[in-house]
Amino acid sequence: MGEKRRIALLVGIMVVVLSVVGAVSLTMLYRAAIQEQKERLSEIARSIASHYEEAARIEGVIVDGQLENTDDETLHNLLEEHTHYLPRTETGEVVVARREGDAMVFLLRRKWHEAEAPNTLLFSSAMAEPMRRALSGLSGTTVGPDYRGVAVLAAYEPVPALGLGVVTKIDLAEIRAPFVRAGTTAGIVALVLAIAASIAFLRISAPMIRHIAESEERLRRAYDAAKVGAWEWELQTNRNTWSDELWKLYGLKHRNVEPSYELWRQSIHPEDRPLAEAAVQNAAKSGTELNAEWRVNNPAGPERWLMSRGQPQRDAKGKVVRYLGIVMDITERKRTEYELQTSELKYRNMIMNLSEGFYTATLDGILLDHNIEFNRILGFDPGANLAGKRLTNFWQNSEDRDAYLRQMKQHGIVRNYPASAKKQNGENIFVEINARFVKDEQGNPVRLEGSFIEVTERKRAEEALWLLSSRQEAILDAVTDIIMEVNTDKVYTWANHAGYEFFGDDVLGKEASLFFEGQQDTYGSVKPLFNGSEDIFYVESWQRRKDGQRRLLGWWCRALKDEKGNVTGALSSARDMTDWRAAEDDLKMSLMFLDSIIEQSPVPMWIADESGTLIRINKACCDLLHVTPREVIGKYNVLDDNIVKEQGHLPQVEAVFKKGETASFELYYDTTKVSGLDLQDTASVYLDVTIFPVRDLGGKITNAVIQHKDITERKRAEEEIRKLNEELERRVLDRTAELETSNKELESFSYSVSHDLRAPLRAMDGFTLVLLEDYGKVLDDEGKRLARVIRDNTQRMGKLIDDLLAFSRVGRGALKMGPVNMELTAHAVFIELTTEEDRTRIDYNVGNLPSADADQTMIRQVWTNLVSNAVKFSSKKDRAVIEVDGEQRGDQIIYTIRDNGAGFDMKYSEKLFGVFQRLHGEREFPGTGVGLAIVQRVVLRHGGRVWAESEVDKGAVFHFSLPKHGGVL
Amino acid sequence: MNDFETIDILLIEDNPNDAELTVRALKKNHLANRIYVAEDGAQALDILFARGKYSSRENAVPPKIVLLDLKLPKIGGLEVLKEIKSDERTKKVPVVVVTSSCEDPDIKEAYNLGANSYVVKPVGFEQFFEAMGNLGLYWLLVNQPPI
Repeated sequence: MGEKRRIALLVGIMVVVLSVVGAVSLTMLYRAAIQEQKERLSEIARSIASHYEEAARIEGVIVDGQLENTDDETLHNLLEEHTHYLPRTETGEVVVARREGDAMVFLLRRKWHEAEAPNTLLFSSAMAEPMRRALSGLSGTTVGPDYRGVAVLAAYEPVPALGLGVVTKIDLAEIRAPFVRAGTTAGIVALVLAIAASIAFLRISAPMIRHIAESEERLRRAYDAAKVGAWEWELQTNRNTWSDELWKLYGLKHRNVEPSYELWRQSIHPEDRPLAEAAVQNAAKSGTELNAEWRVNNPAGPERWLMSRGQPQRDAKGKVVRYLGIVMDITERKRTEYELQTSELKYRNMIMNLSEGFYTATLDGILLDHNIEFNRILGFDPGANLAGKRLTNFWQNSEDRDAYLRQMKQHGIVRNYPASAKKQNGENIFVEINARFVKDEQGNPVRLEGSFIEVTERKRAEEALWLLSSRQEAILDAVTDIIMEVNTDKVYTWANHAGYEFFGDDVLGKEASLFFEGQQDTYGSVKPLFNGSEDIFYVESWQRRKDGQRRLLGWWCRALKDEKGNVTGALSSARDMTDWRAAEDDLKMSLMFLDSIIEQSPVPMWIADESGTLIRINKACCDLLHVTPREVIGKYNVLDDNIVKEQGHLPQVEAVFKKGETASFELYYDTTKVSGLDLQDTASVYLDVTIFPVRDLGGKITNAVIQHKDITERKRAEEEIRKLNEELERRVLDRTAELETSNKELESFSYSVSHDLRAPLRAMDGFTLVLLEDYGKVLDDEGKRLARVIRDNTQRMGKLIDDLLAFSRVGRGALKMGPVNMELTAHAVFIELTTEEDRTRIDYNVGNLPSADADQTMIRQVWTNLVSNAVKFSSKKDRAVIEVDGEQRGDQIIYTIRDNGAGFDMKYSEKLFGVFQRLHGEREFPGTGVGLAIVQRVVLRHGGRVWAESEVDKGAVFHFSLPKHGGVL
Repeated sequence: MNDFETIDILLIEDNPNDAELTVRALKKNHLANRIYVAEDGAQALDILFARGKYSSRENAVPPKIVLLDLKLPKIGGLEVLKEIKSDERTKKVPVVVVTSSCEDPDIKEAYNLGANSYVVKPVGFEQFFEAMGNLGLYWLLVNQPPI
């Protein structure tokens, strides 16, 4: 029934509210209407008043300030125009009045439809309040009684000029009437509506209410079924309502007692009581959700956990008035929780004490949790909480981190990931990380979980080991020596690079003897190694290289033993000695060779060490200096040699040893004068000494080689030559003087010849002529002939002498070389030698004659002699032909003179160019036999040659050659 | 030949044969009017400079021409030439050197000393005559002395 009451109340309230709203709105409307009427009335009143005044002035109503014509008609007319301003109402009217003494005389009342005659009222009357105010000169609006005593709304305005008052008014009743009607109607409508709404609401709400009740019931039953107890706690009354199930949960029999806070309290396990109560009290006090868990006070039975949840219910003011809640048995959950907690604790303990660093982190890499080992490894205080730190801080380098992150992204997990970590103090350590994403049920990663161990030591050890082993490997491979390991069966079990290189890549597993070359007892030799009596053994053996070559290997073998000392094999290193042995042999040979060369060398030599001391001397040197090796080896030092010093050669010798220069000097060596040596024999020789340094491979001077050359003979010969030269020089001077003398003699002889021999001849010829001239008459023909013979012979003698002088002249004196035009010369000579008559008889043909450098005068003599010969010997011919020609052959020019004369017999050709040699009789062809001798002498002096060809009666050909550019003997 | 007063030609020649033949040649050419032969250089100089037994020739005019053989006993031809050419009185006298050979090295020296010409005495006498004749003619008739 409570519901219906509430609904009725609701309806009542609705009616009241509507009524109030209606009343308020009506009142406001009414006020607004009043206000509007007021404004309109006062506007009309003001307008009429001003109109009256204006109209009265125009129509002359007012004269000298006195109202003259107060005709109603005029007033009425004045009013007429403004009647439309009046409100279109029943009661609206305009009243004009005039004060006449104590009375108000109403002149005009203008209603909407009718105008009535005015009446008069006492000015002091209680009625006509508005007019009284207007006539008192006031203007405004008011509510008050009009001339009828009816309450009106009026506006009043004086017209002072006419002494009138204007009032516009309307009855209040008229204004109110519509509002009263509206209010009544609204009230009735609101009542009807309220009643209708209530009936409709009741009709509609009944099933809803029933439905709610049913839901409640169902919920209670559901609670019961779920062993969920429901409760309601009224805070004001402290009244509790418990569901049946709640009683059961609390372990109480509810029929006997009313539910109460105290009853609930008692049902709680004493241990949990304070906590549960506090939770409830706190919630109630603060008005928040109630949440409590506790154990039921059930000492005999099993432990039962309950959980209560309550929601606060608030009144209209927001104050919590009651709690509605439920209670559930959460024993099972609690147990599970406990178990979980226990195992988590165990797990956590385990993790905390794990020997690996363990951590969880958000997906962003923010550390959530970590164990002690984490701190220890990374160098933090064991108790330090590092949660919230970024994992990035612990990475030593970003490359490691990036690779790690890639791997995590790709696989969601990393295993034994090696990385460098940074300790708190910055120190670098090596760790190995295992990490994975922890995923939710949907498989989305929710956080990161990882563990790591420090492997720095291990890593260092590994690195060291790797370094060591790789170094050893590298060393063994880098070693050029062959290193092989054999077991006791002499089978190769290991080889280094050089070993493979030598024996081939398939050497392992093969027996050592497989590679032996020729007969050898290597096995026999290494027996002591394998039977344990020797640890290290050297043996040389010829072995076959993989390319088939026979090589001598020098083996150093070392026995390999196990811990008990049993020989397990041998490790052998071998070096290819073939070339070395050959080189050694070569060296020995070359040393012997060298020694033999030195010893057998005919060049005396000895060798000094770096201090200059003689360490080796050859036979030739011993022989030369008359010493024995024993006397000088180790005893003689060239830098201490007083002879070398005395003769000033020490600086040179020192330069050999200090600067590596080569010294060379001559030395007179008298062994008797050498100090510091005890010599049996003596020698004194001139030596040509050469000393050159010998350097080792480093360029250091280690020795000097001193070579001697015995120049005693040469010195002696030189002395001899010197003496001879002196002698010769003296002789030459003597001879020159003699020669000069004889030259002078020769010259004077020539002069004598030319003067003194010719004088008698001249006398003989001259006086024979005188004889013929003066005594010709007394001489008979024979006498005259004889005289002529004398003259011929004397003249011939003169000619001989002239030629001889010419011949001797061409042998003397210097040649004046210059270019000679041979053609011109040949022509000129011919003209000189011949008469005109001769020239008609002789065909003289001159060909092309190349010019040559020669002494003009002498060459002219040559041409003269040759051409005159040709003319002479062809003089017996009726038609003489002389041809002159020339040609160049190489650098020689050959000139030829050819005639068709008597010629000569070639067997006498050798005599042709001799002095005074003639091949023809004087009677046949006169001549002195000097011409060709002169020709030969001149040509030879010019560096040329002369020769002739002929046959008797076939003419003769003479050739002479000259060097083109002159060549003087 | 005792008249020393005026000498046209002074022949200085030691060889009497040559001298005779020369004189003959000159005569044949009609030039032997006043020829005097000196047999050596000393005599020639005495004649020329009126010394010794020729001192009486003191005021005699110098010869018109001197024919001088270079090979002379006592005083050589070159010395005679030098004396002639270095003395004011005789230096304008033409001196023709007469020599046996054109090879004579003294010819050059003679020219240096002021010899006016030279002539070779050929072996053939015809040529000798001719040469002498031409010589005398030239120097006595053609060539006017500078005075």
